[in-house]
Amino acid sequence: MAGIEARFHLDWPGFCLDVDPDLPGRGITALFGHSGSGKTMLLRCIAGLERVRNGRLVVADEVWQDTGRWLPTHKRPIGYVFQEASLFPHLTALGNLRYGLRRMVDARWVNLDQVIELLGIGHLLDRKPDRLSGGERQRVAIARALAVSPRLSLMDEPLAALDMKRKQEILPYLERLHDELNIPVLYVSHSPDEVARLADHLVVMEGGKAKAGGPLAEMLTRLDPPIRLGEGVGTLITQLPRCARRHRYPNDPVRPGAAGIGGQQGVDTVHVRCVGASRCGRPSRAREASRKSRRVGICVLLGWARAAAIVARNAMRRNRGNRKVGDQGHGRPVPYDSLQVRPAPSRPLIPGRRRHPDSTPVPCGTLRHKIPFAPHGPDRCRPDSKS
Amino acid sequence: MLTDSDLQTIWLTVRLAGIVTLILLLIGTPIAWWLARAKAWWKGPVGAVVALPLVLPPSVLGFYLLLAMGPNGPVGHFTQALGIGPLPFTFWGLVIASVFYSLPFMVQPLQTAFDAVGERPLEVAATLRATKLDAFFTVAVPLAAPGFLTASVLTFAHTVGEFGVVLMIGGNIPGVTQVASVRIYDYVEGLEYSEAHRLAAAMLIFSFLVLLALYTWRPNSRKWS
Repeated sequence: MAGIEARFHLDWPGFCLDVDPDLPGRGITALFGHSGSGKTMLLRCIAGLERVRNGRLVVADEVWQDTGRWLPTHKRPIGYVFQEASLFPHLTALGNLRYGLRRMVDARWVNLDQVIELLGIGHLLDRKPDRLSGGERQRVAIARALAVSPRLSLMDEPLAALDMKRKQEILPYLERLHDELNIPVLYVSHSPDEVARLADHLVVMEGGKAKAGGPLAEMLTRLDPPIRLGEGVGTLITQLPRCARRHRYPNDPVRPGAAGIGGQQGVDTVHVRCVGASRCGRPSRAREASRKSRRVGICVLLGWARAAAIVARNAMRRNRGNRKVGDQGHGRPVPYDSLQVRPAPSRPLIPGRRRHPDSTPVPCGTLRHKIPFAPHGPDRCRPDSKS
Repeated sequence: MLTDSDLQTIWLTVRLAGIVTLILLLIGTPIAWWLARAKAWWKGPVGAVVALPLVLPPSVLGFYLLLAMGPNGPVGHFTQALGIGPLPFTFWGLVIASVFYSLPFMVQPLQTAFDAVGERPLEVAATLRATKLDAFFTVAVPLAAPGFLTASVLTFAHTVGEFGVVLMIGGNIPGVTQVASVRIYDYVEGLEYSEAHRLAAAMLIFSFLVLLALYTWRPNSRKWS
């Protein structure tokens, strides 16, 4: 499928959207940004739920919107998952799945049974939505959006309304979806974890504009990250120079030849250094930090430590054909929950060298897999000033 | 017990109320839908006009309707041109007057119900390939079903209970325009209290049962999830 050309310009009082993002027409593309950055609006424009003048939308060489042309929502081959499950309460789960199927005109290439199996909702089909849990409802809603054989799937923070446990319940299904169905997905999210686990491509939205976009690993390894979450700076070190291994991180179990992200050789240990945003949060400082640690394939992230670890872990999983690294010995991938960002004792970034005048000692952390997961990782990445 | 002419009156009343309810379902639904969804500036004025019969004395409404439908009124000219003749003091004149008079009792519950349905279900339906009309019938109407029931029952009961407009437009022609409320008035005027008692009691019980049904057997308003 060719890429998606989506150009919209909208100027409302208090909100403006002016986007022309680079959206590939395959895999999962995450639209990432804070609330009010226009990601949902962009999705609604693509779905045709919001009508913007002066827009142009071409999906798979088919013009959905242009001057003088407007394809109404019900004629667009999309599947839309809303933030709340939004199931029809007067229909059973199966009735909800069939609602769209019955109205399809274009060829069906997604098998309903396959979707039901994929999302594990076979036992829920004859229940009404009020007898489903939040997670089950959302799974049915995702299945409903896929059952219509969309050529483009739009997901508007499908997990945002769910608690941590429900999220963990659904994420594996979304991953399977990515692996097994060849539907391009635009996935709106403000959760780095979700983005890192699911996305292939990342578009960062801010103030109604698409600020940056590119393949996920590339975006996460940029030294001038377009994303600032304000939680801390994580540095994903994919390959440490020997001296760094020996001298700077004497306690870290880095093994010789460690390399990682992006399909390089596999590693057993991923290191993430977390640096307080207040101390080292500015890109320039982060760049300095990484330069000083003589980076070789280091990625600097703002608040994305855990996310980066997940990406690295995915890279490892992809490599496991070669070296079986990242597995727990039986060819199984490491569970995500065993990834942990662990604050390390604070110490100067480069021992023996004068630090920047206003930089206080920077706490470092290591991230490894095979460590039982304590409550939510990213929080632990926030440095404790006393430690 | 009730005499034959009483039963005839009751049957006429029920027929009138039934027809008015059906007509109002057809007219009131689009009006309520429009009032619930539209963003036009004249939504306010239209809403106010629809609600007018709630506050107007029935005699005022009846007076204007009488003028309009009378031989010299615009509607009267029209119906005479069609060869129907003037509408006042006929059953269908009564139906038209009742439609106006009961309009808010149909529109307002429906509007509330449609408001409660909200935009989201229809957007969902649109992303599932449903046209607007399709979505209205397969999503909005089922979700607003309790509203339809309430509106229909209220309209029916209110039409049964009307008096002023009937007197102004329908007059008091047995078998044609004499409904139960007017007949009771008749009995009382003629000091036939025992007959008045019977019919009044029948009306009282009917009204109570209708409202009882409405308030106890309310379909669970479905939560949108």
